[in-house]
Amino acid sequence: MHQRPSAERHRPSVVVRCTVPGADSVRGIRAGLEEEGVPVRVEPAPSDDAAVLAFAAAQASSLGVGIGVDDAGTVCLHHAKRPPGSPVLSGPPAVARVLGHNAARLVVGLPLKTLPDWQGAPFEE
Amino acid sequence: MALVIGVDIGNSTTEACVADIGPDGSTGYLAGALTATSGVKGTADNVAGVVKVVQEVLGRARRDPAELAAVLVNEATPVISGLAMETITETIITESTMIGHNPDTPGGAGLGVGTTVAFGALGTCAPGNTVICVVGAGTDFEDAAAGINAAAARGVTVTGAIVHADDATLIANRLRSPIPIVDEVTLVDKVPLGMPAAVEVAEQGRTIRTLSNSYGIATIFDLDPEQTRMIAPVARALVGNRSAVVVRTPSGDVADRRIPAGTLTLIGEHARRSVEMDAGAREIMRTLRRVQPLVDAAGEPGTHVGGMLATVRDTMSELTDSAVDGVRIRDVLAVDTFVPQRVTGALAGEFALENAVALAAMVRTSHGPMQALAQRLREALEVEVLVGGVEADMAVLGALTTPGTDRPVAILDLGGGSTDAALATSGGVVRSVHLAGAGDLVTKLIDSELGLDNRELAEDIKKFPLAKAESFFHIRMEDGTARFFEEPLPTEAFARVVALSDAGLRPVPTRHSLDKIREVRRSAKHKVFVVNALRALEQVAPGGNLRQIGFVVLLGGSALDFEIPDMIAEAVAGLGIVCGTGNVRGSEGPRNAVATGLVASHAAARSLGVAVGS
Repeated sequence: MHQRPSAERHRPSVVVRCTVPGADSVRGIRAGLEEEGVPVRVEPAPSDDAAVLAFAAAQASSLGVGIGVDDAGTVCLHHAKRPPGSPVLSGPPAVARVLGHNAARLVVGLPLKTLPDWQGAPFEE
Repeated sequence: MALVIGVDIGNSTTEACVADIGPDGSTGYLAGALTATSGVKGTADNVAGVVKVVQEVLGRARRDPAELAAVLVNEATPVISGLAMETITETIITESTMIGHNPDTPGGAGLGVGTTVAFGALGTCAPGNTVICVVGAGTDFEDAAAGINAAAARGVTVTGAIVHADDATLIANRLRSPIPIVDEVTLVDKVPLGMPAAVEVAEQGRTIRTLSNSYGIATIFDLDPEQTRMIAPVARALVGNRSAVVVRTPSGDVADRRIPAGTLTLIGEHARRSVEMDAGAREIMRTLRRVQPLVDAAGEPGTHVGGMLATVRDTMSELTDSAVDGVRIRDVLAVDTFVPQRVTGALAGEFALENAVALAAMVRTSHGPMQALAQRLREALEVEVLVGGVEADMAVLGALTTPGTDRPVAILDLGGGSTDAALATSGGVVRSVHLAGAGDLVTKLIDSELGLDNRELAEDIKKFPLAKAESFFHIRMEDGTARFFEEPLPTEAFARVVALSDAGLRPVPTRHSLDKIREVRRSAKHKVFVVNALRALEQVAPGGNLRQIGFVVLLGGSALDFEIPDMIAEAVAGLGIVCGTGNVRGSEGPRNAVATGLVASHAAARSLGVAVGS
């Protein structure tokens, strides 16, 4: 594996870490971010859990927002300041586009789009 | 010493106050308690709530039920109120003339004019044509961009695009020469094809300039003065948008229809007057003042107001188990409001703010079966139950236990269904009124003006201050201060306005800004409570002169609100009135006034009895 450049050397961007190069999910994620106008950087990653990849990606992003895509195409969205075990959102490849939008919205501070299969469960905390 | 409990059965809460009364009438208050009223006030259903509150208040005072000498219950005021709301305007788009919504991310910028053509038919357009491309559902953004680029390469001038998916920026980024693109048009299939059209997208942070201007549209479509007059409502409907589409169809139009709201007839003791609902709340309330005291109100059958009053009557007759034509409306409060409503004929789920009138009506019913209720209570509690005391008199007695008050004193009981007022002069005479409109109407106004369709959320917005979740770890309050959290906030709350409810942060799932929601909340409270406070005080004040009232004590659930008491105090500040939230017995706040008054009245009667006897 090549030496990973430090986050400081990149322009500010959301980082996507994907175990399978050219996965369909990545196209959707890129499209979501582009539509919202936020830069994205995609990096290859060794096989791991989507949430673990997403948290590491968020740590590597100077914007503090990362997305992980695992072997099965599951997409996970994470924020650098959240606890590792508590990602923002995750879902199947079908919601990759929406998660791309939401990654961008985390950066610019807009309310998130609801996932298609997420019926807006009653709010509890 | 005699142990007595005063119990006040209200519309929503049942309150109790327990005290030891000495033979000379000296009163030692021990505790107060409150529970939800069971059933409709004044009916036998209330027994469960009364039993519960009696047990609770005895528990708090650590006294044995066996010691209890009597339970005092007030003569319940038989008033209930009802609410109705109707929109009186409607916006209709005919022949799909325009799309005027605000997608989050339209693409490109500028103004494009051309003939609408389906994306699939772009290949058949002859070079030299000037077109606007309509991209339906299921077309990938790369294919759309490639198609438009190919058409442009053949000499077809594509000046703008209308897109179904949220793809505008993606397509615009892939075009060789950028064009304005409006996206998220849900009913894109209904856009008329082969018609002259214009697409406008403003730069970020700006609003459209040409399609929101009647002469701008006239210039584009070469309209004569008569046609310009026809198109003017379209321009008006698009003001404030960042993007818009106008299609020139042969008879397309945006109609701003006024729904015939009907005539409200107010029947007073001495006079009878009619007023058009269209005239607005101010005119309705002015007419009401001319006919007061109100005996009944009627709405023109077959119109909105007729329907509204029928709704109120039906609900009331059902609640009180009496005949519909026996229900008399004794007060109304009309409030001007607006409701965001889906525009008829819109292609992208556009909303328009429609005018509406909300009407609260107060109904006087036949006296409830108080003696029957008292008998049931005697059986349930196995103790003497005394019914006595007019509610208003008792409330005044209770309110006067607030430190710093004296006669002449007016009380304002700000409840859920009605706003009640009573005035006790120095001579002890009590006058009282019951007015329509209170907390429930405020909730309804907030719910409809914000388009929430969620009563519970509207209730939280009414009761609690707002904040905005600015990150996963901090919120900004409406006063500008920030508050930090150790645990990350829920995803649904991110970047949203939240109500700081008792149960935690409650996100408001709308696009309204914090300032807008705050403004709606405050104006709803003003339109109901400040208006009603002034109306009520005017009716009980000697000669209608508010300056004759020395003290105003605010009571009831809504007097606990974090801003309503301040609003009322501000409104009467110029009149030399001392106004504030009550603090019954120096400890109960604005609660427990009637229950306390029952005990005080009982004690006074007892001391009088002793005096006469000796």
